[in-house]
Amino acid sequence: MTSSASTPPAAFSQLSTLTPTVAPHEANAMPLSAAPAPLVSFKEVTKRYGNFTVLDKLDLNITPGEKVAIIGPSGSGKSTLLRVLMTLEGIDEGLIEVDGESLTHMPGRGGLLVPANDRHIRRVRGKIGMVFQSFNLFPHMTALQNVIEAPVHVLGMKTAEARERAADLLELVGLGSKFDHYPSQLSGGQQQRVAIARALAMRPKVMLFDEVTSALDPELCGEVLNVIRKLGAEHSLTMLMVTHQMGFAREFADRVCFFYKGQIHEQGTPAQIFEHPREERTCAFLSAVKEAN
Amino acid sequence: MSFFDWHYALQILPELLRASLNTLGITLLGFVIAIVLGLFLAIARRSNRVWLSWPIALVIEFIRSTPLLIQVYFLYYVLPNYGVSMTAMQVGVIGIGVHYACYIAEVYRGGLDAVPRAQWEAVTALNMGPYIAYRNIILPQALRPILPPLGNYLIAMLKDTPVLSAITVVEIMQQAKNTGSETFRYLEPITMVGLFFLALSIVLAYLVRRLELRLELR
Repeated sequence: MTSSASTPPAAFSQLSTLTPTVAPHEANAMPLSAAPAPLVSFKEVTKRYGNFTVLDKLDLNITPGEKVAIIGPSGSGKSTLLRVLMTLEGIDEGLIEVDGESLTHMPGRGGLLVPANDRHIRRVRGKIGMVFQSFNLFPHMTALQNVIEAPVHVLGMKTAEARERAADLLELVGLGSKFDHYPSQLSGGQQQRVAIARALAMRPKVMLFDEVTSALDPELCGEVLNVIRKLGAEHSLTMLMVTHQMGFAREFADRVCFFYKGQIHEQGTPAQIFEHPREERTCAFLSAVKEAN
Repeated sequence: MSFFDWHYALQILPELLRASLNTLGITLLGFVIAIVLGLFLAIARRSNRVWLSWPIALVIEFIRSTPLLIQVYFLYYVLPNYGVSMTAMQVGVIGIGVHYACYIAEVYRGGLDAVPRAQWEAVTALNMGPYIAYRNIILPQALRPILPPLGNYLIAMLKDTPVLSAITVVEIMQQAKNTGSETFRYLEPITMVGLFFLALSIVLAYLVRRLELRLELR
């Protein structure tokens, strides 16, 4: 299982002084009124693969209910951001907080933060849900079983209740008639919608979407994006999505972060980023994407 | 001397069948030990904790690399000197079970390694603990592809039970030898033992195949 042994930056070693901070370059993305406490907070997070630094002292705060789109060239650290937040990968330096609690560290003796153990990670990780590019459904279970499995065995929900909720969620994603279908009997778009229902069944506070339409035929993207739209409109779920669908990012996100070399190179409202990008790299990336389309 | 004495064959059939129950019992009990212990060995060997995975790997290699005959001799003739004595039957079941657990651990390892990493990621994202993850998600997927090799090992175990005659277990082969030495006719008992193994192997292979079909991906 995953474990993240990493060193917190010195400034964060005292647990009692962990108040949310907003990096200056993020100020424009925060609401004008008093900034609410962030639900997710990356503080000087560094992640390396060998000599390659994927995340480079990354700072990022996400407020409750915010919808953040992450865009950028491949290898810029977009997916890694989601993967370290989901604890699929450990981090090398820095601190990640979720809902005011450190995900990667826990209080040790004398208030000092030490790398979190599995139990602590599991408790904090429960607030996060993730949908993957390749769906990752359990192939030996029906759509309904996929959705009830974790609520029953992880949350300890009664099977009847979990079944009822799963049915509601599958209805929500438009699969009311596919309860008993196995993943192999569903189209890519349908599988991805089951995956969304499965993640929602765990009642996460934050949902991570990792290029959820990249593995789909173009005509199937729409049905998945519609489900995400609906979720955004009907629920105050915090969402963090890595996407190549610029049109969707523009229409859906409250904030767009352009990643480059493991850092947030530029961020702002969709209008700012897509219509008036300030950074040369952002302009180059957006025009390259435009050309490709 | 007639080529095959049917009358004699029928006469010794009951005692051979009685002994065959031992053969079958040892095989089935040993197989249960092998598949359960093998699973634990495989999971321990895959562990990130080096203090666990290395010694287990060593034990597996040691047992796989030494003959079953030596192992059961050791258990039956050497251990009593150190205060551990078991009946020949107990040694037979445990010896063959542990021996094959080490082979089967490697089969499990192959099956577990073949489950895509993405499934582990889904399990992590759904916050499942290792027990639920293995029991409900990973093992059901790992088992299907390893059923044929598991079936092979079941049949190999069956055919290895005559080794236990060396430690006085009266399985069907030992019974046939005893019968032969009493009457000086070996043709009938040994032929019948061969046919017994053939028939039972076919039946077991058929049952394994049935199970495979039942578990085939829908």
